[in-house]
Amino acid sequence: MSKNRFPHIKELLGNQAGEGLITAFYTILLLTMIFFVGIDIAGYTGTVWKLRNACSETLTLMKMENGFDSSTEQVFYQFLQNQGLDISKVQVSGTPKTVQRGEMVRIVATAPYVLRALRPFNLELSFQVRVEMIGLAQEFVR
Amino acid sequence: MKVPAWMMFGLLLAMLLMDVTTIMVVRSHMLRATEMALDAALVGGVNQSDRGRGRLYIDEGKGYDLAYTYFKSSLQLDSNLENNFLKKTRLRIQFIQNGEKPKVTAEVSTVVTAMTTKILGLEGVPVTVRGNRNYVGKFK
Repeated sequence: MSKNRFPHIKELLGNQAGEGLITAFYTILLLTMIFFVGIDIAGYTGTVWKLRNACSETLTLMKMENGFDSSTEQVFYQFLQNQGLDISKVQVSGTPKTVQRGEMVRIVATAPYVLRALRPFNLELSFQVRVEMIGLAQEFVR
Repeated sequence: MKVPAWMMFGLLLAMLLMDVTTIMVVRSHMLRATEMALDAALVGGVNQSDRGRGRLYIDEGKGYDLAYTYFKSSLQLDSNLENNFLKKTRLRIQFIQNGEKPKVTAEVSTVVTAMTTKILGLEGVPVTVRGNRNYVGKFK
């Protein structure tokens, strides 16, 4: 008696017509997630690479000039700008001039990285990328 | 029977992950120490009074001594150039005088102790780092 009560539901449960559509939907969802994660990995690596390049070039200058000052800072920001990084939120500091030959010089740069994957959801999550490099001053100061 | 096998697999995977992380961190420290050693080789090797006369010559003995000192202290190594993670470390520094364009190259090779290699009965993972530095001073 009860078996014949809901014949349409039994028919619906046995029907597998939408299976392909659901699989396709989940596949697209998964591929989109992989795509966004890939974009963020590339973006983060790119930011680190640009900061490292700028720090490395500036550190070479700091070794020759025995420290960091406003002109060195200008060189750093100019280099970053040429690399295509937004310099408005980048912060840099270094061992101030003038240290003696053989003493340590240090440069520290930080830049925020905003996760692109969350932008479609109108969310903004950012974290700091930090690069630090050290070297020895080369010039003798009389 | 299946659960212990999965647990063992998970443990091995965790150990492998820890070893990879250790090697990456050690390599990054080695790169930094090598950079410091190259700077120190130039600071120790270039004679300031010679430079004032427009000559550039690197004293290889003094350069190597200072590079060795900085390298050792950067990685907190003992007199055999070893610590808990690094064994059989070797620092090779080559000075290329090349007239007024002197250059220093460094090669650091070491064996990083890892958990998975211990299980396999091996000593560790060999890691080599290379770097070079041209002298970038100014003539006054």
